[in-house]
Amino acid sequence: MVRYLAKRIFYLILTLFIVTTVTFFLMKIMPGTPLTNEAKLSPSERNMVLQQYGLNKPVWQQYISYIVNAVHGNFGTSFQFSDQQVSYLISSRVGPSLLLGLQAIIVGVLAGIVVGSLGAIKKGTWIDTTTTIVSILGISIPSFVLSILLQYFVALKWGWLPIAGWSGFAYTILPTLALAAMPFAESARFVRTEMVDVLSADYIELARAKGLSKFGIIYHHALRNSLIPLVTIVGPLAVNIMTGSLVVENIFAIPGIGEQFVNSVVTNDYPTIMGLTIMYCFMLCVVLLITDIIYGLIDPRIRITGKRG
Amino acid sequence: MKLRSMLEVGAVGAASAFLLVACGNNSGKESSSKLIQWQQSANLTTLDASKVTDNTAFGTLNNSNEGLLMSGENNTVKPGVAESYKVSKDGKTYTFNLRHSKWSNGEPVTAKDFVYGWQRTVNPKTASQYSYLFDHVKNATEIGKNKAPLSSLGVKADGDYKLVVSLTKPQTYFKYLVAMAPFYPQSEAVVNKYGNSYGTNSNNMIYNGPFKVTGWTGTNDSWKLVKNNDYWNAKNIKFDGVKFNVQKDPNTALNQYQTGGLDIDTLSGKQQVNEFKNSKELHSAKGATTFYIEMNEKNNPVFKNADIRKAISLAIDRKQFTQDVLGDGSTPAVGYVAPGMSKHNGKDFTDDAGTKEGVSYNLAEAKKLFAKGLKETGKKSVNVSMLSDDTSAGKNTTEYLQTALEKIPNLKVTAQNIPFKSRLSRSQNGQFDMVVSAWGADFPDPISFLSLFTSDGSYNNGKWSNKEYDTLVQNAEGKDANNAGKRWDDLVKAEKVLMSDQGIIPIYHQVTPRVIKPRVQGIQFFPTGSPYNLRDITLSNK
Amino acid sequence: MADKEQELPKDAFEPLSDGSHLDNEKIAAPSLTFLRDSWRRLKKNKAAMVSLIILVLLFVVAFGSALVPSMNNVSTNPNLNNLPPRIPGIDIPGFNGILVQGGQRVNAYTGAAANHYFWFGSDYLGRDLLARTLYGTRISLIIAVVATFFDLTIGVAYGIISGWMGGKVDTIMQRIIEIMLSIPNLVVMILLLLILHPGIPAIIIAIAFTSWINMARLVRAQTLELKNQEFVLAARSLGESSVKISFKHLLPNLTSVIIINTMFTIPSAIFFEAFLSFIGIGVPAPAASLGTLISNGQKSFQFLPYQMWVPAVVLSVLMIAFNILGDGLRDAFDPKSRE
Repeated sequence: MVRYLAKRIFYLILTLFIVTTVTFFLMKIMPGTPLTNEAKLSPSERNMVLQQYGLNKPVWQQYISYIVNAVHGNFGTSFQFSDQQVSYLISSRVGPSLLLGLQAIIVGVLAGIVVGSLGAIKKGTWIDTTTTIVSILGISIPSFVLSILLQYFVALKWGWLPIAGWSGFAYTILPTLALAAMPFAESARFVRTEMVDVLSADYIELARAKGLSKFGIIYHHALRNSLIPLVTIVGPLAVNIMTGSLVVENIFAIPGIGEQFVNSVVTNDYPTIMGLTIMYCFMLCVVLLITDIIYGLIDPRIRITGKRG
Repeated sequence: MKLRSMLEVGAVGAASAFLLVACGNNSGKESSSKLIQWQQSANLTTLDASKVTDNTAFGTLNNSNEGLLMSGENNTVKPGVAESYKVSKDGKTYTFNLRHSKWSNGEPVTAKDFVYGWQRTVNPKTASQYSYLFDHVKNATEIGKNKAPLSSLGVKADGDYKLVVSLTKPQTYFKYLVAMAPFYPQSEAVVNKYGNSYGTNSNNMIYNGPFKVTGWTGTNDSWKLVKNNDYWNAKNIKFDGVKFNVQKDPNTALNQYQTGGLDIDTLSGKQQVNEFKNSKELHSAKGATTFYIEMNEKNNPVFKNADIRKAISLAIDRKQFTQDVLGDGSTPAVGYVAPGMSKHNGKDFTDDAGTKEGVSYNLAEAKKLFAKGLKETGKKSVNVSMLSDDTSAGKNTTEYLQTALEKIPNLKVTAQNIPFKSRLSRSQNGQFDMVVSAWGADFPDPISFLSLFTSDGSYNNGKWSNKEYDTLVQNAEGKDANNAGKRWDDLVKAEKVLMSDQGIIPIYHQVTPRVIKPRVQGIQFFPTGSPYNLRDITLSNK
Repeated sequence: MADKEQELPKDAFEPLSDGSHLDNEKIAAPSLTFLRDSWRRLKKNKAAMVSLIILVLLFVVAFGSALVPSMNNVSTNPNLNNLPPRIPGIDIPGFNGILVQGGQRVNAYTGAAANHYFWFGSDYLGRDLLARTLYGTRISLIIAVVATFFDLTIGVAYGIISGWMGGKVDTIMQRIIEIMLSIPNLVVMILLLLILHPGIPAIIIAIAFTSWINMARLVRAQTLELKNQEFVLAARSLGESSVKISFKHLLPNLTSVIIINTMFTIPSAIFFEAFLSFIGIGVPAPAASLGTLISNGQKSFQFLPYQMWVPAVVLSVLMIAFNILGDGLRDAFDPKSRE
């Protein structure tokens, strides 16, 4: 286990290093500087600005100092916010994004489990058909369309929930729902398939023969065994939520990093783009690592060894 | 998933058809908040008067701090920290008499704070992007080039409450400049106390204006302006303050406005404006901003031909574009210098300089001139790209211009929309054929526009060059600077030269449409310098 | 030791009369290849078939409309802009040219527009929304299909090489995949789009660059399985080259995996394209895709809802149809699901 962990953490660091390097050089190719009215400045003033941002040194020196700083959690100064550290920018905005992501994954997966197992238990009935339709819709309707519709109908027309903003639990409901649609649909489909398989397994027949109640069978045997593999799709679901958050946060005016990322792209705030890219990779790596560990812990068939997880 | 899923698809379709009819119509709700809820489309980036570059920050800063003078309505200036000022006969020395006023930390605002603030902005180490505004102040340019000591800057404190400014040459519009943020006082003690984090959040800052900024962490999406009881005129501030909310999605913002979550919202696009066309809540603020096309004569020699330039200009139906495409109240260009900004003897600049030349629409003439131009340059066809911002107005502009220009035979235009800063950088580096640029005047004087297109002008990206124009602008800034009449004539002539030679192609003057709830009265918007003034607002609580 | 001949009765052996008994062993059904068999099973899945028909129709209409001049060169006509849908002879709300503005119902088709009929309305530049939507669908489909094609080629090649070579090569290639998997793909797409010259090719590259991984993993797993089977061993011992084996023996056996995965890659490519266009870094104007149309429509959704509904419904229908068809194909190709 320890060896496995060490190895995984080594790969995590390697991944982050590669990502940092690649983004750094990609950003160097891009045009644009922190200056908005470069032309009006004298050469010495221009140099001074570039020097403040460390942009007047040769690229390789910039690269080394970037890596060294990044290790210390310093991703440079934002082009957009004057004198503002990117690390501060990220850390002060990551909270809402994490909260929304977490809520969305919990709501989505829990609802997915319920709906998916309902579909499997009632296989072939109208309940199964309905749940399948709902999950197909969940996968097919893009999060940005869903957000717009939710905001328009639930918040504006019916006035049930706040339209946008970030000042309390009520404000998180709509964005959470918009983000949860995909995880919900994916896990419902996944659980249904798993459960259908499990329900036809021999040990379920045995349990039935032993005269266990239907609820007992489903709760003790079917559900548990079909949920374990669900852990493996949490990683991809997290990616989904990150993707969705880029527009959902914008539409619902959430002060999070998804909205910041799109904004940095539009304003060419390269240091922030780089910092957020590394941040996203880091978060995803951690999610993947945690789900692998959990998977190893709860499924006795999987032995984590030094070789493969 | 059987056939039912298909029925579901049908149901979605039917539902959408039904919903097409159910359009929104609910306005009129008002919030009862004691603060004015105000939408902003960009984050606040800094509170440091030396480093401010964008409108959001200018707006906040203009109401949390105050310079010697402040902007008033109809392009006037009103007394700010300076109770009065005197200009010497030669127009080179300004003497400001300051009132006794306080910072929000209780310290007095003195002439030394102004000297320090100005020196800090000009100091190349500060890397202020607006230091060029000081170019008439003695030694400012030399200091910027590290050729003179900071203390030699032409601003001196005479006691605690008198400030003397020496200019290198007369500058009639200097009074407008001192109302701008880079000319604000700054407390040396406070700047030193916070060092690098000065102005990066609402606590690391002190205020001498009518409001204090609170609740800004440096990166969050909302901040407040609350009444500053230490302000010298605090008794005349009649409301509690403003809460700014960043809402980048215009649709979301309008939804908020309609349900009473916002008091002030900037509208975006024709439909939103249309909806409020007959409403008293619509306020269209004219800005002194002109959008124009620059043609890169260096990159693409075909643009050296004046007939080609004129043909392109003639092919643009500015009235149709502003009314039908933009539809936000923006007006067709009447020239390069924006109207309603500066007057001489009661006449607007654009009335004096007004020619139809350079901004009229005549497609037949355009085709003729273009054909003539092609013959002169010996080309069979012209294939160019047009660069613009990737904002929605920017995209509308290129989409419209593309179809409009391609009505000219043998002219092919490809559009490219890129982020603002990329567009700037490509313009500066001459990497374009045609670019849609915008210029908003810093202060209400035609020179703020016209200084751009001298042969060595730093924003003259197309490298259009005209000797007569250069001389006229030079005279206005130099030998005629202290003679209002002559200076005016120089500028009018310069504008005429620019237009008749079509050095650039003006398209429209920007108007910012806003909706404001009736409970907010007395807000002032300015076309240049400070975007708005909140000092005279009254807030009724209906 | 007796060699006495024993006479057999004449009727001990009876010659078989004709070949009638062979009928007992005859395979009644025509022999089916794997693909034909799957097709037969797919045909039984009604939802999948309806999806297939919808997709074929959408493809035909979207690409066929390119041949109709009025549908192809969508000209801007600013004085006919923002007109609601109106279909001649139909007077149901939503399709009769009536618009609700400022709380009042007004006929939007006045003046210059009186004689025009825009079935799905017109957009902010007076372009026919029906034509624009078809055009957008076309661009979206082209991007999705081309991106999927690239991702298929990269993915399949990567998977086969990795699985076939095994050993160190496989390990390294798998590590690369693991690293790519821990980078959110949308972030990579956005970074790529930032540095590439904006345009349709850039989007195709950006999407293809990130979405081949899934394909590569599936193909590799399948290849590993096939590698140890007898027919591959036979081919190998007969001295066939690796390249030939992959094309002649591996690829045909990978068909089902590839087809199924393609069916899921296309909708996700459509989604990513729409997403990128929605946040404003996708297809550049004046070209349009479903994503840009939705993004434009969203701006005036409150007042002109049709401008978003039309492209949004088309996009959703496309995604639903691809997903259902993908599900159907997976069931059809899966021998376990034979009933």
